[in-house]
Amino acid sequence: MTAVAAPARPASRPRPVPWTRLVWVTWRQHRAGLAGVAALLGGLSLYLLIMGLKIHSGYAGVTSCHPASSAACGLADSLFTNDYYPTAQTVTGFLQVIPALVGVFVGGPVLARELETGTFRFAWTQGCGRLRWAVTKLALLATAVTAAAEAFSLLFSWYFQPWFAKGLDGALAPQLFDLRGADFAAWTLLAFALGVAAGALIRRTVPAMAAALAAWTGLLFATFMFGRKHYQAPLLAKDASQGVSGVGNDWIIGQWYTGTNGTPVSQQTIRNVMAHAPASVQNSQNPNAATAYLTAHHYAQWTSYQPVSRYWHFQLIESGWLLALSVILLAGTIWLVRNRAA
Amino acid sequence: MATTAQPPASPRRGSAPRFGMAWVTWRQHRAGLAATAALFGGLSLYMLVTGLHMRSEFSALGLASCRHVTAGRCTPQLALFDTQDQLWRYVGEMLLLAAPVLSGVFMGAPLVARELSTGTFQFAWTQGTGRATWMIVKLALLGTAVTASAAAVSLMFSWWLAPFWGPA
Repeated sequence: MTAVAAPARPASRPRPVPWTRLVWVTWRQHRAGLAGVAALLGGLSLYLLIMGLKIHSGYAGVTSCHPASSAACGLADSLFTNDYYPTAQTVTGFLQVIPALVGVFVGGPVLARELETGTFRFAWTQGCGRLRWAVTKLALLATAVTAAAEAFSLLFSWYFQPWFAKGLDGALAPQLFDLRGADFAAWTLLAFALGVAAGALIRRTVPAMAAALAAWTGLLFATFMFGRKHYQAPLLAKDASQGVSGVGNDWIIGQWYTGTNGTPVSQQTIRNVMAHAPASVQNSQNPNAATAYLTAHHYAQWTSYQPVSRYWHFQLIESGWLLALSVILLAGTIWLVRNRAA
Repeated sequence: MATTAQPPASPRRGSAPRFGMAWVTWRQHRAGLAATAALFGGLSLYMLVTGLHMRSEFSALGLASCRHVTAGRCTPQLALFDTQDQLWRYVGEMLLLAAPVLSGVFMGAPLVARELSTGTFQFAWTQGTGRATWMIVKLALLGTAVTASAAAVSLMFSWWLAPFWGPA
């Protein structure tokens, strides 16, 4: 396209389109999507910032209360928790879907829109080949989306910090694990890669986005319910002191009772044993009374759990396989773009 | 796509019968309606399976008498109530929050936007039916379909969580 005028160049081959032009093309075509992501994450960040400052100052007030075990400080503590914790839990629920939205709405139209409207015939016959076009677009958009997601998840970690400090939730809690560390960004990257791949295969924007959303949800569901607990063999604890939240902030995977000969007993058995317990045990306000009664009758309680110290190990495992899967999907898409006659 | 060249027999000239417009709506949006059906159907199946499992655990542990958790006798049973069940419940609630939004957005946004964006509105709005009838019939049919499915799933949700709710 650029005519060569320099006298030193012997052949009159046109120069390839420089990379900076490709960066501009990517920006120009996807600025609406990127602006949408910026607005969504920006708005949520503003909310997290404002609420986070309130929560942190409230928590500072609670921790600086003296004497710490007095009724007045206890009251202030529970007021603080009741004011902010339920909202924080709701926010956690809503944020689960953000990686999918960000990734799919940016990644879906990249190839699908070109193929659907036929503009690929124009886009792929410019000075740069389709390979460079695809690589630049995907690399830039993937980086932008992942970086924004990572920044957002750091803000969320800061926002939720007081609840971890109070021990209300453990770091391995399933609904919080994929919002923090490297996981949030990795799930966003995967959603982007799924959107791009679905677009290349289905070639229509709305169905590709729907398919990518469905695939992402399925993967998250499988990981959330079944996969994550198997990243490392869980530990077993016997007769761990318990509240319903379990052994410290560790992630409880299962609990069961074994009988006198060490074999697991059914839930019905425990129910029957407790039904025959004396009234002093049944009506006791002490949560350990029932467990003590069962132990006295040679029933041992077993808990299988993942210790919270494995948090970063699990984060690395999960974001590792998510990253690998995303790279495979993106590489496969680039291969499709390059080799298919479209 | 939206052809009224062969409408079912109608004595009127110059306007397509309502049946024709209903057929047009179905034909243009059957993919979206099928996806909505699959989404809500899948959710209902999920709630059915997990709901039956949770109910059987509930009765095996005798948790119906444990509404007030402070009693010492309920602590072992509550601990035994499968932690997996709590995850099923959480996931179900999240999916149920997202499903109406998704089906509404994916069905509703392309309704007019696709016609305008691809230019096919020039064809669709110059058929026997005027654009007002076109819009009203589409909105009525699709809105009813989506709302009715969501209402059915909502009833299923009440059944699903009934063991957890005490006498109101």
